[in-house]
Amino acid sequence: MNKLLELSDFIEGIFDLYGMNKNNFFIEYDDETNEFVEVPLFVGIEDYDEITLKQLCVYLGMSENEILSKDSSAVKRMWNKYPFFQLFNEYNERWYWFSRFKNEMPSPKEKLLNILFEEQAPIIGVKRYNYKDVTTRMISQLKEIDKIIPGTYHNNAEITNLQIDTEVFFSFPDCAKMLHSFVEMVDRTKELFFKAIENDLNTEEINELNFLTSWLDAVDIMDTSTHITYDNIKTYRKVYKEENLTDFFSYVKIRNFVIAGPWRCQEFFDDMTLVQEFVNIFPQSKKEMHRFAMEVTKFACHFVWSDAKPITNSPEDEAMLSGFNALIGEKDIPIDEQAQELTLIYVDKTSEEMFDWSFYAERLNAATSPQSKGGLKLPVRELEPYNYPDAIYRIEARIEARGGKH
Amino acid sequence: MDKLSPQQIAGNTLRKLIQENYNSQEEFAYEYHIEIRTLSRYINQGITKIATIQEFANYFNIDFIDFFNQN
Repeated sequence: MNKLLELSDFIEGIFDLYGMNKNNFFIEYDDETNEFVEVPLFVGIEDYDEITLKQLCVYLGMSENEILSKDSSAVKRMWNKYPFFQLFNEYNERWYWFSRFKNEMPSPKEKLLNILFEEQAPIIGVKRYNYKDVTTRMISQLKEIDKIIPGTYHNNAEITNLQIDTEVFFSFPDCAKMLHSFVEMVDRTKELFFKAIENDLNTEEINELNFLTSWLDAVDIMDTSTHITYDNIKTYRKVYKEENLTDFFSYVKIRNFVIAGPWRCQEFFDDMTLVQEFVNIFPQSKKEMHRFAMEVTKFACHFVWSDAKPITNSPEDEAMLSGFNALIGEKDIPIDEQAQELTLIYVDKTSEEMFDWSFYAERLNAATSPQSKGGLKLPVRELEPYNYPDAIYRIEARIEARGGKH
Repeated sequence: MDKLSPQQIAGNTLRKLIQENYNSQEEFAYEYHIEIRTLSRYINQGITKIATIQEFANYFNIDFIDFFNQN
């Protein structure tokens, strides 16, 4: 293996260790095929290129020398500081198994035996649900609802393209530790962000801020294509100072981790103070928790009636779509050729299908209920990003800070 | 006066539930993470999707059938 490939493998190992997004480094979006494709990390085939190396330094929070010398202790710096990363790997591994199967995960010994003797030592996952039974109940429910809302059940039509989704709870005893460490990472980012507005940071702080910013996918709230790396904060320093806000989340939006949905852990609601801190970081998570509450206690059944009407939009939306089609030189799709309406209905799980989750579901429902009924409080930001006319001034100030570049 | 459709009754129920639990429709829209334009449509024109009514019923902790009670 040549030296460049070795270096590329070493760097990819860092991305894998931390589960970092490889987009724009190892993968790129192909506009022609509309798919992500693997690409070589460096432009050349003999030697690395300076531009990519500099981008990697910022993204990974490492110096050029640490990357080029393949310094493993530098790689582990954040791993050792924040237990979150190891715990998050464990969380994902458990989630991957329990989202599909109800029996315990295979032990390391069973996994090893399976690798060595695949046929003699298979790993068997036991499915949770009998979906035929769910389908029967769904049809009964549609007929029942038809008595209240006539037309719900289509007598002379068939159910097509049926897809049944559901969610599950699973146990992850280290959930609180993982969340504490995550909050610690956010707090540290906040601390370094405000420090960088006022003062220059030292190398260690710059590397930590850059790494955390990349991992958290922390972006300027008014300019979401700009990560709050040290250099970008310096570019916007004057703007941030003039805005003079004390609430970090009025400046910054964090986009990573929330999608992992840690509320799937049975232990998530053990510490409500911690949960409230989580919602303060991700206000939209309350809605996501509610969606999860629906799908963990019910089956979400999506299907298309064979006689379903084509999807229709409001006249305003139709005009907008038509304008867009004209822009790209496409003709409007005739209404009878448009996709048919999709039906979604939730079917309650039976007590057997809920296993021993009722307690967790009750806590989840209470947390996602209206605030006036004791549900989680949503944070009120010092300055909301879409407040008019503030938003216009804030965007203009950022464009000006970048020297007028959009 | 025309008889209300079940979808319109569901929209009225949603309006009442919001009045009982929130200071304004905007406050509810922020907490429920729904576009105010969509919420207004549900309240004024009715809720046509069954799943949407099921979701609101779960959120306000009432039975699905109670969404169609006009009292």
